[in-house]
Amino acid sequence: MEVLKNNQPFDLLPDEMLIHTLILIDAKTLLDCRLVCKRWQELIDAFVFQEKAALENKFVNNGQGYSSFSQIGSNDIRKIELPWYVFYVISKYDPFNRNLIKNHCGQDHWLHWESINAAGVMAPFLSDLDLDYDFSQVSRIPQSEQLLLSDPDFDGQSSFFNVDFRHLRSIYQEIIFKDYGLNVALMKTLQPKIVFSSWSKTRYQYILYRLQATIYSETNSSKVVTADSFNEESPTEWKRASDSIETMGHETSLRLNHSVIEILEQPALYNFQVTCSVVKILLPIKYKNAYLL
Amino acid sequence: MPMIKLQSSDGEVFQVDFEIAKASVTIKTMVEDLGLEEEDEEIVPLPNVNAGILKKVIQWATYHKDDPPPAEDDEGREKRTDDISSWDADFLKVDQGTLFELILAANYLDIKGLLDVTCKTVANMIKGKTPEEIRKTFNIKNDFTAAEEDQVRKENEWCEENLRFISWSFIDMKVNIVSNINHYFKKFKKLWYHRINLSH
Repeated sequence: MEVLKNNQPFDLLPDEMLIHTLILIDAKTLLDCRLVCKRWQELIDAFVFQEKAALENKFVNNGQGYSSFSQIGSNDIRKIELPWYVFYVISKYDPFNRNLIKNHCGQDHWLHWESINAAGVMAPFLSDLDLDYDFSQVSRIPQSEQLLLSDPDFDGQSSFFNVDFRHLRSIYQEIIFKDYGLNVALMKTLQPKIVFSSWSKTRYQYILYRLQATIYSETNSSKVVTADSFNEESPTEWKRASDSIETMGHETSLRLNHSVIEILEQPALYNFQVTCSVVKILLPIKYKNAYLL
Repeated sequence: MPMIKLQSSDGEVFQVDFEIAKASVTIKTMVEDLGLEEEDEEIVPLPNVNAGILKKVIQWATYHKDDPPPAEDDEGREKRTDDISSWDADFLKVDQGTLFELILAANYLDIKGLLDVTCKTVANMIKGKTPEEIRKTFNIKNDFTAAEEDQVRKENEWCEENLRFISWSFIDMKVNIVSNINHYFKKFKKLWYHRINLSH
């Protein structure tokens, strides 16, 4: 046993055994392990984070797996070609293929939502103490709206915002990608597609509802993608507005904005109902070359 | 009870109860494939395991002979490292060379339980240590050049970049509180104004 004389016990272990040991270590410590030596770093980058994600996928989220891998079976996770830090970020934040909008149906009242009032000033929603409170409310969707509530994005919720757009110009929520571990390095590598949508309804047919996603970049430029929803024939039906954005890699945040554009002056009927706001960042999946497996 | 004979790499022969020896899938398969019988004087050679390690392995398997067999696919379980029994912990209070040879033996003999517990023990020795401490513990040579190490460190920082962000979100929160106060102040002014109007 010559290696033992060197007293470097890890030299004894074949790569497979070293991987077997390292997958038992938490992701945070694995980052430190990358700094130990080249062999460890190479194995961790090539296999450990990915293998760990594949193993963990069977028990996270009450056994439903990471939503980031929602389209992929646990065993196929090993076949995906993605850099190690994507697996690291998924195990920590699970940021992909799930709705990043908080309080998406108004189940927690106005929590996480901001508004711009008619004068164009940012007016944060306050508690019930708010004197202007009654201009915008949260109500429940009747169970009879089966078709609407069957959209899985509702995620068991059934409330909606009832917004009076005489007083509010818009309501919005901002998603900062870094909050989900999606920093510039990661955005550049993946350039993920972002989809956004909402359900809306008016009582008045000459109102144009506008769902807008503004995406901000580190270069201080912003890009606006608009999904208008104008339902002239049946304005009192719920209607889904949706669109998608291709990212370029320097995006840092996104603002989802609900607003109304009036077509005819009819100030009494500006109430507008909106619910189920969704913003999802899609994980681009590419499989490893089959010959390498 | 049927006994079988196991021969270590250095020629020592151990007589072991087959019920215990079959914890090793390798031995179990070998015996079944060779069709060894109870009364056979056949010896199973284990050229990859020396006497000292084989003795430890037999000791482990004897203690765990009544354990339920490991599930075919236990990937559904979370991999924990804090569930080592006190007997196993005591059993594995050995020098690093022995511990690593036990991992190799458990792998070669295909004893899942022993492989798990030995790997967990090594993982626990790594956890919570800095890279320098890990290198020192296992006598690993740092073969990175300064530039390479810098690069790896930078990549780690990318991953932890969001930590810096948290401090910024606190500042955002403060801005929000200030604007909330302004908002209340306006409301108060409105009320005050209202009161004056009413008094007229």
